[in-house]
Amino acid sequence: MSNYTGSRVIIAGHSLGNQMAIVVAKKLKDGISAGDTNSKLKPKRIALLDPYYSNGTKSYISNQWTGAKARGYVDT
Amino acid sequence: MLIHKKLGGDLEAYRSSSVTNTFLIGDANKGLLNETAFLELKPWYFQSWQQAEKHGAAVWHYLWSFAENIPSIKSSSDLGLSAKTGDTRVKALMNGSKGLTHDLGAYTKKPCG
Repeated sequence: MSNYTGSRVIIAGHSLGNQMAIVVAKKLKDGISAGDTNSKLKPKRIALLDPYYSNGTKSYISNQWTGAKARGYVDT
Repeated sequence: MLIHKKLGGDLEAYRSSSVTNTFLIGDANKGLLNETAFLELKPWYFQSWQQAEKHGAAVWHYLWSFAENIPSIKSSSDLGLSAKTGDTRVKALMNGSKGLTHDLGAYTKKPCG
């Protein structure tokens, strides 16, 4: 989508996919800030559809809960 | 502190089942949901034990709502939350202290209309 010229990007993620939606949004924002991602790809809306976060720490995210990790991406 | 500055987009959340907020099953992550424009859906056309079906309802409710009127809020002139809700209104809901519940039409699959 590097040549995207539209005016509105919405990222929607269902269940576990909501975590992917948040990560994708963050990566897009970081890429745009770094100047190597098309700024037209900045999402206007990120929709979390019945979002799911499992309980417990996860070794693959430095023993954080997935919910806390997601909050970390969202919080300023 | 506008949340959308971090991700670059406004954040909306739609909850349709108990799968995501029963501690035995998952982390309700209220901290994150409090930072969204939040809508509790009531897909009561499914029975209470049909949580998988309720879980899936959020998807087509959201997608279907692009084509439907934005729901109103009881005793208010403000508009509710749907895929069609304007960005300014979504931002206001994100920065508010309350979530919304889609009460009307709980036994009807088609949102709004």
